[in-house]
Amino acid sequence: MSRERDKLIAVLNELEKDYHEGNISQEKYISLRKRYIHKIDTLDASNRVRAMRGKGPHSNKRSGREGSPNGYNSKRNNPRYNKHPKQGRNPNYRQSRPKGYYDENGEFHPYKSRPYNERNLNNVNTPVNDVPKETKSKTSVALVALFTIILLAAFGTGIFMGVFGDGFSFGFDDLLGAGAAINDTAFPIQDQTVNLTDYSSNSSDISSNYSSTSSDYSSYSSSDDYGSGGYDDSGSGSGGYDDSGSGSGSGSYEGSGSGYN
Amino acid sequence: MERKYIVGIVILIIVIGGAFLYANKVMKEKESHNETEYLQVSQNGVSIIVPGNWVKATSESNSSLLAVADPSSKNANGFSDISVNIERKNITDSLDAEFTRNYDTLSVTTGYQVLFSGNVSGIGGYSGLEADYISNITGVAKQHKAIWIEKDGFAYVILCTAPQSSFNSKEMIFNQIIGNFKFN
Repeated sequence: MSRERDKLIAVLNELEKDYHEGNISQEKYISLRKRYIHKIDTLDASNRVRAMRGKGPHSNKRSGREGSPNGYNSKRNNPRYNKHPKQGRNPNYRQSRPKGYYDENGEFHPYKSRPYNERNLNNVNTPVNDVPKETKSKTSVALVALFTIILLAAFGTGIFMGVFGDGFSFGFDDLLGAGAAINDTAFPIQDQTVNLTDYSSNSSDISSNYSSTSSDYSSYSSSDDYGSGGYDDSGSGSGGYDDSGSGSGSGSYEGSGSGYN
Repeated sequence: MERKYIVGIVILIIVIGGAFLYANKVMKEKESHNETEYLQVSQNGVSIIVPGNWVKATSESNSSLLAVADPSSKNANGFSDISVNIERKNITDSLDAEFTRNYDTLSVTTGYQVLFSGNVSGIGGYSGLEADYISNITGVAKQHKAIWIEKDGFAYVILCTAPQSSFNSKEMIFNQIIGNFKFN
């Protein structure tokens, strides 16, 4: 068995060599290679069956090789993995795997799936093609659903950033609809309550200003609108200035008021 | 990394980026529409129209009847630099006297510079006075336009404020607000 197998591998290597040297066409090479690999696989399958039945040692021992059960030391030496750059992965690889399963007694059942009641999904030795199709299907549906949710979340994130983001910095004031505050007033002097001491210290300026503007007001006094009585009232009513401040301020105001008398 | 993960990440980036750009474009269009669309605001017996993207504001002045501001002009102190504040003041003699006294005082106060004063008409059916001046109290030069009108013994002042650098660009909005001022 093993000698026949070795011969086949030798022939396969020869074929590989011929093809690389251009002695045979690609079609012929593929066809022959397929045929020889099929033969090797058939031999391997029958070897395994014999080994399981205890009718002979495993081909590993006969051939003196160690490693994988089919006697190959590594993928590099395995003709099934040898691929031509033009050809890509060996198309026969999946086909060459023996279909079937070994039962508890070590008996091989070709072209059959293990019954569900005998399956143990936690067993790492369980053949891949023994995983129930329903489980595979559920997994893929869950993955698709998860990916869809992630896409929706990403879409939502993008919309959120576009609506509420100012570039990449968020404007949470706008988001919360916060109002605005202003500190501008048309009456900054009267409304100034910031610092009364400053105000009193400036009172001399104000008094001098007011006395300096008295001439302006005297020009108003010439008009009928600004009768002396009117301005006397405002003069005494310049309590606005009295409040804010200082005796000197009000005194100066009286001074300016005299301009209108 | 497997190719499918790379494809997935690329799709995610495209989806997030696409959604972001789309939403941003929609919001920009909405904002530009809001700038040209005016809304009516009424409070304390006065009524004005303001750009759709402005908001009502709280004023620190006790005399304020109604304040509105551009929320995007908020400064480091939390106050909006672009605003309109309508204030009321009891007048003891006449509007002219109050007006003159106010701006004569301002013109000689450090940080204020009066640019212009004169008469205006057609403000809510009333004639009044206008003063334009610059203030520089907090280190930022602001330009103000104040319209004074008299009604029932009170001086009503519409004070429009913007940073001096952007005042001209906002003047059209201020004129719209002033021109549509009404007493309720």
